Amino acid sequence: MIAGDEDLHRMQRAFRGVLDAFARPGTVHSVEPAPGNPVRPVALDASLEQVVRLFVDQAVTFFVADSEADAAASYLSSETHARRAPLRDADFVVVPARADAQTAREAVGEACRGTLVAPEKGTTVLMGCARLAEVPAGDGADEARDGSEADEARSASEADEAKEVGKAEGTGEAKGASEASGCDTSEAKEVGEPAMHVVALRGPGVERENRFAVDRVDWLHARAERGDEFPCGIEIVLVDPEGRVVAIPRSSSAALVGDPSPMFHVKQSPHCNAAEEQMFHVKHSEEPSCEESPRGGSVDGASAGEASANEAPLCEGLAGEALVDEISANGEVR
Amino acid sequence: MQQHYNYAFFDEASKREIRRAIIKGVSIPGYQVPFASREMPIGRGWGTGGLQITLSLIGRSDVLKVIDQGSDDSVNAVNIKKLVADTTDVEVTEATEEATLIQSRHRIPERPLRADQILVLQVPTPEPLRSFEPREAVTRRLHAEADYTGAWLELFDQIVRHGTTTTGADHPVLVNGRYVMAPSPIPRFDNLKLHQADHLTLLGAGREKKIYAVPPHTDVAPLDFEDYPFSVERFDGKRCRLCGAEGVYLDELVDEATGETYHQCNDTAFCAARRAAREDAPSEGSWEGGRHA
Repeated sequence: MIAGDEDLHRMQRAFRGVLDAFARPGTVHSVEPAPGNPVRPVALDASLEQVVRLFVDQAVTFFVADSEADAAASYLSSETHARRAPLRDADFVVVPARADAQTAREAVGEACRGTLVAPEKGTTVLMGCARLAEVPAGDGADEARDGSEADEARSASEADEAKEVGKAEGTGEAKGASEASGCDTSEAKEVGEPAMHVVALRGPGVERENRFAVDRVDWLHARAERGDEFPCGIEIVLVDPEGRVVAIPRSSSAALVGDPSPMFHVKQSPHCNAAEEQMFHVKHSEEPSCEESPRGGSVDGASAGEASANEAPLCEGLAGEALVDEISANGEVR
Repeated sequence: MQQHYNYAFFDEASKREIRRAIIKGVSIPGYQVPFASREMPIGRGWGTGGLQITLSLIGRSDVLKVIDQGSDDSVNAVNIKKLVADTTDVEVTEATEEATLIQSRHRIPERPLRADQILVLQVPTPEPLRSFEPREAVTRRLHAEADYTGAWLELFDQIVRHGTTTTGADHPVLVNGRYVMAPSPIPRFDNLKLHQADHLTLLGAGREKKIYAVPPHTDVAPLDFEDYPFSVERFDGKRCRLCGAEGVYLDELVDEATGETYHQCNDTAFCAARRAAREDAPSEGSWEGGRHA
C-alpha cells in the first residue's frame, strides 16, 4: 500500500482527469492505465483498475458485477484492502467492460441511491466499456465531417454509425475493441469495432449540451429506469481500455441521440415513489416547476435550476407550503 | 521540497478520502459533504478546509496562487503558500492568469477565471442555516426537505428592521435551484461571479468538516425578494488611488496623517498588474498601504 513516488503522481493526474470529467459531464478526459500486474484478472483492464484504485481503499466497500466476480473482487480487496459488500450496500460498484448488458443493468439499477439526508451515500459506479470518443459540440455528428483532425473525423464517423445502428444494445466485444482502438485512423473499417452510441448530457457543468460516443448504453437505460429523485442518485464513471474517462453525475440528464423517444433521466416525476426514501415527508419543492414547466418531461436538477433563474420555483414552493403558515400576512414573499 | 513528508503533506489514504468527498460535492452542487477533516499544521479556522482540498488536488504541473482577502501578501496567504510549496515542488505565483489552482479566503479575483483554473475557497461557516438552527441534525433535515423558510425569514427580518438585507458578506445563494449554500464570506460583489462561471469552485470548511462545490456553468442565485432585489456593493464615483480602476471591489482606507479617506483595489494582484502595465506608474506609491480588517 505504500505508494511509490511515481504511483502517487499518476494517481494525482488521474484524479484531476476524473475531477474534470465530473465538473464537465460528458467531456472525455484521460487517465494513465495502472502499471502491469501479472495477477490482474482478465475481467479488469488496467485503466479501470486505475480508476478503482483512485477511490477504493480500506475505508469503503465495493461490489464487482461480473459473471466471474470472485476473481476480480478478491484481487481488488487484496490490492486495496477494501471490503466487499452486497450490490445494494456497496459504496463503489465495479462493472468490467466484458459484463453483459443484463449484469450491467442490474448493477446500475440496484445500486444504492443514498438518502435525502445523506445523498453522498449514493453509489459511484465505475464501469468499463470498449470505447469512448468525443463528439464535438453543437449538432456535432454531422458538422465534424470536414474537421481536419483525425479525432474529430473519427467521432463523426462513429456518430453516424450510431445513428444507423439506432437502438442496438452495446454488442461490442471488449477484446476486439481494445485491439482495434490502438490506432487512430480508419478504425470504423476494422473488424471488431463496436457500434457506438451518442449520448447527450445536460445539467450543472454543461454549458449547453455535451455529447460523447460510447459502445454501451445499458447503463443509460438502467439509470433512466431508476427514477431517482435528486439529490439522491448515483454517479457513473465510464472508462475505456485506452484510459478515456467520462463521468455522468446524478445532476446530469442524459439522453441517447437519435433515439426517437429520448430517455431523459427523470428525477422528480410525479410518479416517483417518495415513500421509498428515508424521508417520508418530502416537500418536493421543485414540483411546481415540474408541473408548470413547458418542458414537461425533462425534469431534473438541471431544468429546475434553469427555471429558478426566472421564476424561482423553490420560493413558490416554500410560499405555498411553509412560509404561509408562519407569516401569513406577508404577501410579498414570492 | 522537504523529503520527510509525503508529497503534498498528506498520506495517500487521506487524499483519497478528501477526493471522494470532492467528487460527491461536484455531483451534488451546493450540498455539504461531510469529510474527515485532518489535523493540519495550521489552526482550524485558518484555512485548513481550503488547504486540505488544495493538497489533495495539487501536482507537479500546477501553479499555485493563494489570496487572503484579495491580498497575496498577507500572513495567512503567505504561510499557506509556504506550507504547500515546502511539501510539493509546485511553482507559486501572484498573477491570477498564471495560476492553475487558486486558494482564496473571502474573495474571488477580479480577473474572470478560465475553465482550466480551479478556485478553492476557505469557509469558516459552511452552514447557511446555522444562525437560526444550532443543531446539525436539524439543518441536515432542512436541507433534505429543501425547507429554507428560515433562510428567507432571516432576510425578511433584516428588511423589516433595517429596510434592506444586511448581509455584508456570505449572502446565501441557491445553487442549481436546489440547495441554499453559504458562498463563504465573499462580498456580495463576488456572489455573481459564481453564476454560470467557466471555472470549478470547491469550498472547504476544515473546522466544520464539510466540502462542497459549485461546478462550472451552474446556476447560482442569491436569495432575494422581488421588491428587494439582490444588490452588490457599489463604489459609484470611487476609483483606486493607485491604479485608477473603477467597477472593481475597493477597500476604503483612511490616511491617518490627514484624516482623508481614499480607496484602493482589494485585489492586489489585479492592481499591481494594472500599474505594471502602465509605464508612468505613480511615484507616490509605496505599495504596502494599510488594509482594513
